[in-house]
Amino acid sequence: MTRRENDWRTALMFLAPNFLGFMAFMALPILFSLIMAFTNWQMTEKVPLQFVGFENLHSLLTEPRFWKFLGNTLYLMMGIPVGIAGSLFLAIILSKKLRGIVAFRTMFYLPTITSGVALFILWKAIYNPEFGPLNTALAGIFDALGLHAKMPDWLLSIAWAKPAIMLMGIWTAVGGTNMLLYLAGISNVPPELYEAAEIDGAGRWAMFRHVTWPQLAPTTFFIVVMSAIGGLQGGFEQARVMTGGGPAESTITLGYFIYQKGFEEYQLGYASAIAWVMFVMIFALTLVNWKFGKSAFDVEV
Amino acid sequence: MKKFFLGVFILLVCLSVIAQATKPKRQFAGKTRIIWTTDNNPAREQQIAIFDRQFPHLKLSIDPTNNDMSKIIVQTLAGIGPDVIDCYNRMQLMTYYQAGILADITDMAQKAGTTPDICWKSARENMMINGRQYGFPTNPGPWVIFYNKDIFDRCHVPYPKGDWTWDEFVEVAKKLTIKGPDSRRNETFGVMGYDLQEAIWQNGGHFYSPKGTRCTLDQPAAIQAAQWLIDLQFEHKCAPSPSEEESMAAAGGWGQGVITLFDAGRLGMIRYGRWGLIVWRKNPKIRIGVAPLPYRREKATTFVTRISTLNKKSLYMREAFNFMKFLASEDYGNQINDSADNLAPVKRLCYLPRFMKNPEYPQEDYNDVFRQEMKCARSIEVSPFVNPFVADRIYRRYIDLMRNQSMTPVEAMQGAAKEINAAIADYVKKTPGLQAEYDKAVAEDK
Repeated sequence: MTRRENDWRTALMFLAPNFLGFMAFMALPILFSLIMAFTNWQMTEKVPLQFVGFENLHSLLTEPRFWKFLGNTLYLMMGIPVGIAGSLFLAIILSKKLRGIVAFRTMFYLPTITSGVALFILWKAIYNPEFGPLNTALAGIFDALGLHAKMPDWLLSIAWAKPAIMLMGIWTAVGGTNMLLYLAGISNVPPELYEAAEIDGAGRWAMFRHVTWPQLAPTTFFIVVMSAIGGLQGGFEQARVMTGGGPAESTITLGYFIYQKGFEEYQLGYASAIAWVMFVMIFALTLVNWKFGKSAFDVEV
Repeated sequence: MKKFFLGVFILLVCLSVIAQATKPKRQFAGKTRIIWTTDNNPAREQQIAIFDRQFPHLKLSIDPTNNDMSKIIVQTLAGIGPDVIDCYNRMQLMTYYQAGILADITDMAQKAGTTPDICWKSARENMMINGRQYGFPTNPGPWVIFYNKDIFDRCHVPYPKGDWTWDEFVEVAKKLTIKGPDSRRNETFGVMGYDLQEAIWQNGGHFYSPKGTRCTLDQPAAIQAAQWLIDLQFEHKCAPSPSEEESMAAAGGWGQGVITLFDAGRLGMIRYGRWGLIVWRKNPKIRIGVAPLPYRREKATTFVTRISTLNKKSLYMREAFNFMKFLASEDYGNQINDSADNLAPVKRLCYLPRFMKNPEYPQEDYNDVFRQEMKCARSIEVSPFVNPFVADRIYRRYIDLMRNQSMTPVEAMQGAAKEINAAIADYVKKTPGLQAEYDKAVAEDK
């Protein structure tokens, strides 16, 4: 055996566990779900497995609930730009060389490493209509202004449940991984660019606009793409823990819809079809981002 | 590098051997182990001891971590499911039946004498599908009204005695609703936890037509019942609104269950089952009374029970069938009665003097109410022509809309009926072989 062959064999041995794991737990189930998306698979013996062609897709696209839940998903995604802007703002503040800045960075990143379920339960308490700190504070402000308005029933009202979850999502996103990415991006901006801008008499806003923002374009592009993907996939945990999808299904997203169809109604073929429709949407959105985002952010990929 | 891979390989082999060696064996000290998927209730230990004593050649083990329905269906279809599967309601039973994983135990039950006729009458609907027996009840019982005697005394309201009407019930509930010192929040509410399906029966209505071919929530009886229930919250204000429910749960600090709010003295009356006594027996401060549910046209309450079923593909099905004999035994029935985990599944055991007076709890002078209410207990209505969870999801959405006051009870009930009927049509269309059965049922429904 030549040395080159030996190297190949060793490399393959190293790759094998990961590759086999990927095949067993990712690639094959994905392929399986693609096949099942064209069947009436219901996990029962009473309904024999049959190939139904595009019937699942047709049913899905003509089902009003699908469009409603897609609407819910897109509604919640409206918080993404605010979350990204907040991350950038926070990263700029936390990039300053101040005493104890590491502690501040850690504090702002804490929500990301805390269990999601614990956070959602905490927010549920914050949103409590009568005893939650949010309504207590709001009532105080309104009382001070001489206004006696009824405070929102945040998670119980059809009108307020989605904005409430969106608000919580923004809070979670601002101090999260996006902030870390921006922090890393800011630390990589060559200091001589700021020095040159300072010599040219640029103010803080001009420095941000002409130095920081262009230099962060690749980071922003990456964050936008990943946030859009995450936004389309997300919403399951929040709805499951905080609202159970209610009130009146107003907080059900596409991710929750897959769970509901697959594991509450046992229509696994149909659930696979939803998953693949979601994949196509994410793929299309990513392509659009890729096509137009690159030029918008002036990124070379 | 080769040594490293060899080492990893040997380590994995060793771990696999350890995993295999520590895997629970089906044979345990010469006994066959029977796996029972149920919750980890403290009473299980005692129940297992009774089973093991009754069947010395068997060892009963519970698997409380494996209660998810989809897991049970997948495992059972794959041939590795538990031997005994608990169903917590008729919807679960119907789903397992539709998945084809339940053993038909009719013949074995007839030979062993564990047939439906020894159980409470209402249990039959819960253990039978299409005239065949698929399980045995574990702890049946009715929903009743539990009331807090201290709140009644404080409001100078006499304790309810025997049957009462909706109007009488509302009057009492209003009197038990006490404003707090700041008059902004209620200190107590008259009632909490009333159920719409039950109210529909009490008003002479039904969820489905007799054969289950159409939803009848759009009928006047159902609409009136929904209106009555909404009025309890928003007109009479004797039941907490959704936001008040949420606030009370947070203020109480003991979780969101109605049982904990009642335990904390925040509610005058709640609709609950006998198993609530397991909690209240631990609170010597609370003085409890029990009354039947009120009614308008017909006396009705929901028959509630777990049903234990057997896995059709179990390798130890015959051994596992002994579990049904265990559930029908006097020792098990007395354990349920004494522990207040509802009523013994065998009716006769609730007519023994032992049931009426538990010497450990002499203050419990209301056990006859549970027996009496079993006479009007009904199983929840499910249709064989729709996935019960789909129908339930639609129903709950409209209840939410009604409670949010986005829809009137008329709009909500009509909307729910229309959508559930569409779901029935869709299910029949997509389920092979169901159309003929449906057509026959439609003819009978007319």
